[in-house]
Amino acid sequence: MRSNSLKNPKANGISISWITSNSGLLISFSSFSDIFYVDATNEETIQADLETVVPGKAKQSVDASLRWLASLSGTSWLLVFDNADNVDLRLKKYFPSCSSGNILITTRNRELRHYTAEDADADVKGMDLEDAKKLLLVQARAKRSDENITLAEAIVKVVTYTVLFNR
Amino acid sequence: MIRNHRYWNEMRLQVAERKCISWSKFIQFLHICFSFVCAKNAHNMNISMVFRSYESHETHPECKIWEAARATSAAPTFFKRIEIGRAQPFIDGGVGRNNPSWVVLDEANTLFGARPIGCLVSIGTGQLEAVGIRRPGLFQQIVPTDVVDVLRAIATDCEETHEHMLRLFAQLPKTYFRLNVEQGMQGIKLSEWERLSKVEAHTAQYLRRKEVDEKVVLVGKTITVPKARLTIEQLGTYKRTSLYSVECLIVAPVSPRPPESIEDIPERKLCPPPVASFLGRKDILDKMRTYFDAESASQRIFVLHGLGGAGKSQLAFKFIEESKGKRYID
Repeated sequence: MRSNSLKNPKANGISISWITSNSGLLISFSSFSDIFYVDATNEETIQADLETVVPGKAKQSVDASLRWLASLSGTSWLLVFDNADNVDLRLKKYFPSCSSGNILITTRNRELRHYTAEDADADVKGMDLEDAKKLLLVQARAKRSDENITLAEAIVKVVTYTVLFNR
Repeated sequence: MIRNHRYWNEMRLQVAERKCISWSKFIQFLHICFSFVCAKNAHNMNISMVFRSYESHETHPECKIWEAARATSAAPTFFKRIEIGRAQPFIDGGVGRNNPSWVVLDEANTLFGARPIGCLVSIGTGQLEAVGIRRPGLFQQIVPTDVVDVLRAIATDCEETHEHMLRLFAQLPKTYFRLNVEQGMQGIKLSEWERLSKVEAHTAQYLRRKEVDEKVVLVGKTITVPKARLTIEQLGTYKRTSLYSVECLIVAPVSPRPPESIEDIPERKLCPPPVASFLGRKDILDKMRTYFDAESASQRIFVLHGLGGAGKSQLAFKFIEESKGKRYID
């Protein structure tokens, strides 16, 4: 309804709003018009979270929410399915059937790659050694001395192997 | 009648100082911050006009910011009317619309529809006496009685609307706020627009009061994190009997959420923020950004997969956090 607004939904446009104040111009921007978080642990959690998506006085239901999302053509909402690990889960039926919008899935199930276009997935590996060392030192509030770095490396390696063997 | 030219030059100056160029069309002004002013068509006092900075089902004549500002402050007998568009004369929304709380609710309802209301902040120009009706005295002898009547009507009007709002929001604590300098403005008349320093002093004193200070803090918190519970429609069928008074209102709408009943509205889950110690993963974050930013004719779906505990969810949270931002530009 705003013809001149700074928004370009086609290119998944960044929407920008601005306020003038004494300290200058405050610009806030967001790549997504709205973000909906869904705990995808199992069917129950998905349904419970999806139900709350539809706005208004309409009776809440998964169907109503999916229809509502699908009706928002030209907007760039983001629907997050977090922890969709269960292999029996048929996630596809919870995708709003439309050609717009964005979906982000996190899962242990590599097969879910097939929902996406080619190269729209990422294999999240454990952290690389350098990041892991840095994180350990930060979290331990330890100084980045040579000695500590060597110790951190040893700890990270042991822990990594332990985790892998126990899997 | 106040000397118009100086007042209007002052106003143009003020508008320009605020970095809103005065000749820019009002409708192009601040698209995201929805603002409007009320005025009346002097030919037909029954027609109220709302000049909006956004598009609406109602059309209005082409209008510049200063013209809209001029129209809304053209209080009868104080300032000259202004012609906008096809020589339509406009005067202040005045009696009836000095406290535009109802108009705000109407406009918000049209704009945001089913969205629950976050809060309504109403800022007044002063209590009844503040508008400077000194009776019976020298003032009345100089100023015609109809002016005094108009002024009194405006003041009464503001407070009446305030009372209505109080009742309307009675069931929703911490939703409706009104700030209004109650004392000290008595001596200042509408015509004394130059004596801003006095107004400022009274306002500062008002703001220093403990209960006002607490209220302002609460308003700040509520605007930042509005707790929506009801839609405007649900607010009720409270019958509006009178029209409107204030001067500046803020409605903070919140993201759509399904309301069911006052007590128990299922909360829509918010996406958690990433842990503070999140680091690295720049390659994947870049890949996600590129994917979601690209033009696409179909739904975009991105899958983060990996072993448990590898940080997939954290990565998703980080990506979402980075998609939002704020920046100051001088």
